[in-house]
Amino acid sequence: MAGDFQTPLDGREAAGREHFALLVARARGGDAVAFERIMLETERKVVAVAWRMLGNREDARDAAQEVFLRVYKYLDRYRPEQDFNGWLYRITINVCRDAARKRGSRPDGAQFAPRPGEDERAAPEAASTDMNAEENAIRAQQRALMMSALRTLPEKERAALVLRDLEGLTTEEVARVLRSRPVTVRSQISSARAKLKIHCERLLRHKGERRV
Amino acid sequence: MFKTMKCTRVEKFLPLYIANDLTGRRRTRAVENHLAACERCRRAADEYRASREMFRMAAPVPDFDGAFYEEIRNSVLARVACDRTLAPPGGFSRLFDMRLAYAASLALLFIVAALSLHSYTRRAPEEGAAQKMIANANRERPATPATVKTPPAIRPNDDDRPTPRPAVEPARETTGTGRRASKSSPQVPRENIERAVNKATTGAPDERRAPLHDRRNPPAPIVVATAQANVVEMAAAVGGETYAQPEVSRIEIQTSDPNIRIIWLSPVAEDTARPLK
Repeated sequence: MAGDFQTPLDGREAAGREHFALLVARARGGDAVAFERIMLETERKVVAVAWRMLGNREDARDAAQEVFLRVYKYLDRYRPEQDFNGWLYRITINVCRDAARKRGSRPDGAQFAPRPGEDERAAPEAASTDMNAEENAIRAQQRALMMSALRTLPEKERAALVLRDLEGLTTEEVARVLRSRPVTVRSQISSARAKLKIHCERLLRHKGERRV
Repeated sequence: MFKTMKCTRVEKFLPLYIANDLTGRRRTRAVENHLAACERCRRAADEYRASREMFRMAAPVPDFDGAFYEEIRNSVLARVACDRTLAPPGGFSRLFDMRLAYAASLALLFIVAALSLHSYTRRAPEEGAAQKMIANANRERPATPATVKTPPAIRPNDDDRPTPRPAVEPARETTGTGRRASKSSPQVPRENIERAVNKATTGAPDERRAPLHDRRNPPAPIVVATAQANVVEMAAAVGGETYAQPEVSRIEIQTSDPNIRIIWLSPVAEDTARPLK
C-alpha cells in the first residue's frame, strides 16, 4: 500500500505532498488543530465525491464523517511518500461503497432518485444569480438529467467516471484508487460514457417529443 | 493496418478517443484517419464530446453552506475526542503494525511447538522405562495368582463365577478400616506386593530367599511399593479388590449397582514415597 500513488511529481504536487505529510505527522502526534486543518482542506472534495456517488445530501454528510473518522483511525498507515489525495479518494470510495451496500441490496438505479428540493440545495448559486427563469430552468433540467444518468450507472463505472471526468484524475490514478488495472478502468469509463450518451439522447428525444 | 478500420471498430474507441484516453499511437492515428474520412463517425464523436461536456457542466461541485461542513467537522472531532475505540494515531498502534503482529504470532507458535516437543521427548524415555518394568514384572510373575493379578478393566460382578483364590491367604488388615471389606474381598499380602515391586525395580533374581527385612542391600526406589501399600489400605477402606502392579496403582470400587465397578489407575507419585518397614 505504501508504494501506491508514487508517481513522478512536479513542484506543486511535491509541495502539496510535503504539506499533507507534515499535517499528518502533527495529527499523529495528537495535534487536533492539524487534523482539523486536514479536514478543512479536503472536506469539499470528499463531500463532492460522496454526493456524486450516493446522490443526496444526508448520505454525503454521513459518508464524509465516516471518511474523516477512518482517516484519523488509519493516519499511522499513511506514508509520507504517498499521494494524500489518492489515499483520501480511496477511503472515500470505500466508504461510499459500504454506505450503498448498507442502504440496500440495490445500490444502483431507482433508489438513488433525487429527493424533493435536492437539486436546488445543491446549486444555490443558480437561484441567486440574475439569470432569467428560463435559463435557470434549463440548467436545472440538465443537471437533473445528468445526475439521473449517473445514478443509472453501475457502482464501479460510476466511481471510475466520477474520478476521471469530474475529479480529473488520469486513468492510471483512477486505477490505483480503485485498486484495479488501467485497462479495466478504461473499459469501465468507455462503457459509462457510451451509456451516458445514450441516456442523454433518449431523454432529450423524449423531451423534444413532449414539447412538440 | 488501421487505415482500413471499420466504423463498428472505430465506434468502440470513440468514448476513449474523445478524452485522450485511447492508448497506442498507431491506433489513435488510425481513428483520426477514419474520422477525417467518415462523416457519420465524426458526428458520433462530436456527440460523445457534447455529452461529456454536458455531464461535466451539469454536475458541479455541490455548494453546500458553511454550516454543513462545520457540522461534519464538529461531529468528527467530538467522536475522536470521546470514542476510545478509535485507535489513537501513533504510539502503540504504530508499533503494533500488522506485519509485527504476524511475526509475533509466528514466533509464539514456534515457541509453543518447541516446548511441546521438548516435554514430549523428556517424557518418552520415562514412559519407555516404565513399560519395560511392567514387562519384566509380568514375565517374572509366578504361575499361581498368588501375588499379582491382572483383571479385566471392567468385568461384571458375577457371583456364580468361581473367584480365583490366592495361594497364600492374605493377612488380615490390622488397621481396622473396613471390617466387611477385609472379610469379603481377598487381599494381596503386603509381602507379596513388596516382593513383586522389589523384583521389578531392582531386578533381584530370587527374592524369596532373601526377605525384605533380611536383605543386606535394600532396594533403592521404594516409591512404588509404598504407593501400593497405600492402595491396599484404600481398597480395604472402600471394600474393593486391589491388584498389585509394580508402578501403577489400581483401585476398584464396587458401587451400589452390582453391574458397575469403578476402576482407577494412576501412576505412582514420588511424593508418596515412604520407606518400607
